[in-house]
Amino acid sequence: MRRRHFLGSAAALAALGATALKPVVAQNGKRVRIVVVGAGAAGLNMASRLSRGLDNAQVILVDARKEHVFQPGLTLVGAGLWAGGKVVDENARYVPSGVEWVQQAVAEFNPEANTIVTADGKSIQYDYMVVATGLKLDFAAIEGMDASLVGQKGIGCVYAGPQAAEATARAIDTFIETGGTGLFGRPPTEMKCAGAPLKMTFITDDKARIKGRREAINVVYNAHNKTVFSVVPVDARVKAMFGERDVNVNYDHVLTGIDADRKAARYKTPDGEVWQDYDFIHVIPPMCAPDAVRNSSLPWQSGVFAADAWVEADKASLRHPRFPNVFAVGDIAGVPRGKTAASVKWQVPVVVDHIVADIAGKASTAAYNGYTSCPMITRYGKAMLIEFDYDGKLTPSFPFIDPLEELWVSWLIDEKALLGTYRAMLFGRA
Amino acid sequence: MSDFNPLSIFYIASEMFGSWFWPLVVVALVLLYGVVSGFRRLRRRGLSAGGPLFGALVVGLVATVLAAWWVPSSTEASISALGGVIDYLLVIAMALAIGLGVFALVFSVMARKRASKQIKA
Repeated sequence: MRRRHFLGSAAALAALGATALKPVVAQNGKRVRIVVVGAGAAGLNMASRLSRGLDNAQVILVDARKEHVFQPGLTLVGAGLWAGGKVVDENARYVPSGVEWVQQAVAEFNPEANTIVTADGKSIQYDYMVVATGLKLDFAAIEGMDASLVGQKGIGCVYAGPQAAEATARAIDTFIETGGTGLFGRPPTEMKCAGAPLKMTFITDDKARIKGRREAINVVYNAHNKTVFSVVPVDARVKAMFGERDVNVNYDHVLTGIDADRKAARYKTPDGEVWQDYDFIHVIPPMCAPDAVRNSSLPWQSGVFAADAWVEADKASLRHPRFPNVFAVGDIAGVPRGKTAASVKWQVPVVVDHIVADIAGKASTAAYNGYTSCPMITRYGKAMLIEFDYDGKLTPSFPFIDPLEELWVSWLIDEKALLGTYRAMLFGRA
Repeated sequence: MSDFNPLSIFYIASEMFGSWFWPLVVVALVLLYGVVSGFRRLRRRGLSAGGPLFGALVVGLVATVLAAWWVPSSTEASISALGGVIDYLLVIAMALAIGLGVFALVFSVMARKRASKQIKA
């Protein structure tokens, strides 16, 4: 029904301005095969734009996942405002006609031979490859932690999916009812949506205030280093807000283990290991590249992105320096920042421009500037619309919205406009 | 979030409103037609639009005030969530859009009634 609605809209618009939908560039006659690995936000957007932008290319999308999760909405599920089903959709709705969807996971990347191998052993050759696999939540890196524990024994994690986010909302409610200590924090690795740990802290604090139970709970944020957010002005603002709201912050605390039965969490600190008892803990696991990427020659071989096997990429063009016909977009790209849906919106057109230019025998100057956006919920009904670039410079899109001011309009964008924008982006239209 | 253009705004709106999008467009066009045709009918019969306009303005204003209370709660927020000037301006703008719709509906109905009464007389 929704696909029909969208197609109807597209057809109507095509009638109004057909020229806008014509391919950007005509091919030189050769049929180029482009493989897009991953049908998440980046992969679907990429497949849509490539199929529309090239006349004579074979676009192959490779991913076993049939379900699509609107991940930016998981914090609203964790806040108890949205049902989990609201963030779940079907990938099939967004795969454009003309794109071949191979419904298999990728088992091997062989960039030296320009091939990938799927889980069922099928080898697929490509002229260009876009790696958009997303990342792996490495719960096993926290001793005693398992994704199945989410929702039990005071453990929450909105990252683990819609059901886990719903279970987290229930765990927060129980925590507020019973009182005690709530632990929040983030992993030391690169992570998607780095604002979410802070959002969940603010949400829990505000929910307790709304229920008149704030004095019954102790909210603790364990920062992995000396900051709570990597962008300086945002870091200062959030620290000040934590101070105003009696959120206790411990710095240089990295979660390394959980004793779920004892409700205690182990942290690595400069002074050695410390244990903290909790009644609720929001666990965010370390994040890294999926095994198939890690086991290939695609990741960085040295530097800060090597340990977690992020795909090596030039931070402006997102092109692989050693394999020039390979690009990385979305969470898997080994670039600073850029692990949000909003980043994908800006990354994908850059990569499309480079591929189209390559095929046309031209050079593209399109560059991704690190744009990342985080509508940071600070209370029920209020948020800060934070946008920044590689340099940590705030880059507000709307001159009338102060990125460091708690506003309802920023909440409105998050609660009402983001899902529609995201879906339009999956169609390559936003 | 920037780089908006008419095409992307169309697609975003289409996805935001889902299956309600085209019905809402149709309703807006019908209301617009109602207002324009209402004015034309009254003018053809040499009647003043003052009465229907006044009635529609009053009802539209009431609807705007009620909508201003309703808009924040429709976003899972209370009225106390409004903080900055931009928040109030946006609520007023959204409430005005609703009030305008009610105005158009009331004016269309009143203008038609007035015009048909004159024919019977």
